[in-house]
Amino acid sequence: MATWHLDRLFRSATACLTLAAGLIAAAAFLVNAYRENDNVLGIMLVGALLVGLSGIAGSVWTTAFGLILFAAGSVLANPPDVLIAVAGCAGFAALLLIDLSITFRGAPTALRSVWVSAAITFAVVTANAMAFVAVAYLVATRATFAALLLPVAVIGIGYAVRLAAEFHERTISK
Amino acid sequence: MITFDVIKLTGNRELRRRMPLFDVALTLALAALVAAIATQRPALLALGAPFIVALAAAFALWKPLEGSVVVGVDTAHIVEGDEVNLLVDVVAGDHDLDRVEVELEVSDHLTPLTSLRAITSVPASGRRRVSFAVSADEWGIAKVEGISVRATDRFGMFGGAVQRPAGLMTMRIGLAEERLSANLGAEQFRSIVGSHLSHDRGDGLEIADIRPWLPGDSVRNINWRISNRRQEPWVTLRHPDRSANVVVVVDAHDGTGDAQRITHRRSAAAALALARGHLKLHDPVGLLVVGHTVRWLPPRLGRNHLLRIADELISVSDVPTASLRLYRPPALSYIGRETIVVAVSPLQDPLMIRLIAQLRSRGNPVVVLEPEIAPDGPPRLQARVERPVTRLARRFALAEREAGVQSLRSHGVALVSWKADEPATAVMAAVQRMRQSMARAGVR
Repeated sequence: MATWHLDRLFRSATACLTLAAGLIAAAAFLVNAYRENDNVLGIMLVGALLVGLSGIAGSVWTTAFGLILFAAGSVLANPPDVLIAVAGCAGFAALLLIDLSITFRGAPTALRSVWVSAAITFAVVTANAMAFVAVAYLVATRATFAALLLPVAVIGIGYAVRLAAEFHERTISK
Repeated sequence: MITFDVIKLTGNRELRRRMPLFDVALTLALAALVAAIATQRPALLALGAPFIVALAAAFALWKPLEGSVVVGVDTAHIVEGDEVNLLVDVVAGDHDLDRVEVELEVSDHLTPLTSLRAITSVPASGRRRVSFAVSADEWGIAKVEGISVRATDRFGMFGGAVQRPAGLMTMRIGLAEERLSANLGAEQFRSIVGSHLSHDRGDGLEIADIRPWLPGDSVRNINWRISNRRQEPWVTLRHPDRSANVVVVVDAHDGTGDAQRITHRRSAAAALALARGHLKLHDPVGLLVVGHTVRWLPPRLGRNHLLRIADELISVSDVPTASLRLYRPPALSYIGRETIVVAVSPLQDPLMIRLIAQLRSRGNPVVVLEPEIAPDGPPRLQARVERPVTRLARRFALAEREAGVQSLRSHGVALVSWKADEPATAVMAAVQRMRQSMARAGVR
């Protein structure tokens, strides 16, 4: 019975979006508690509200706007670096949850493996991201920060080329 | 499982698209990177790090989606009121299918008992079955109107959707026999259409006539009591022990909306009950469905024939719209001259009225059950939205129908109106009374 209730909860769109918005709001309070600069709680809570609304609207782009607001608040608050990493993880979790909430609209029949897979994905990605941040942080503090410009430029150019190629392909196929 | 359709996922270009989640993750990752560089604070990279890792992993682990989706149903014979399971098998190819969403859309005849969406994941070379319970609420041809399959990778960043308009997926929902038999008894039907004995004379039990003996008459048929009284040989003539052929004519008339659906259902229900009753009494029963096309089942006996009739009647629920009916094949030639005809028709169609009149003028005993057509909406609302031309056309149609009905009555066709809220038994009693009065008046 407990498993059934848990399954119902996890495949409920409302639960997912509430969890996403709640996660962002909690992270906002956490960041605000350790802030060094201005009081930015309002901005971050608006971000959390946008995340919640995005689940209702079914738009991940609205989630993106909410997360940008939340990130901006995190930057302005200037908390310890670890908290910024936590905020990043919360943002990623919120995005995954909103994606799940869009998927779970209309209370579909869902296998438990779907949300278990989402949870594992989140855990693995977060762990790797933290490792990546640690390495990047190490590199950035030990070497020159400008060294980061090269991979960013490569990624940016690569993506621009990909977008251009796809646009070209679509134009030809029409 | 009876398979309707197979949707191939392998090699489908629609499933290789970027999903919105990819664009969002990329935007957020780039924003974090740019912010980190612009403010020269490497810690800000941590904000976008999960998105960067997810993007990199999605790129690195991406594999084309391979597999197929098989759609079917668990039973071949569906009767209204049954609970049916629509089955969807998701079959994976060489790689895992991490997230597959299946959504079905069904026609009005089926009512979903659970959500018609399901999300599943299938391991490599595996198969997973998803079941959607629906209730076959209404007799007729039910359709799975559409199926959409949406598949993405583990990260939800690459994938796509395949939609299949599934007009081909049709199921025939039969009428529930036990429900009909509760309303309409076989014996009752037997008495409705008058004598079931043939008008031919032969070696039966029922006395048809007596007359003086003629050369060629068998001595076994001499009625000794009357012969003794009259002092000359008289013979008794008997009806042969043969049941009469009965043909049920169902009017699959054109119309629109719920009114048509309800009328068709009642017509088919009455026709099936009629056929069932007569077949039970060993009367060969034929079926003639007259609508956009003519469907004909010649009079036969047996339970299989009843099933054939039931199957044929389902087609009544799926008549095309009026604009498609440009030509109707002649139906008169199918019915023998001595056959008893019971037509179930709202008599809205002049062609149907003409057919009944022709049958009657040939000498067939004809009874018409006339199910009343339910109005489409409240009369006041109808009057408000109806244009004057439409109203005039409606009046002309009514006048034409009335003239046709009067013509049928004058030819000795027994017409019995069947109101929407009237039980079938009451209607059958009315038909019986009418047949008796016709018999007394000498009308066959």
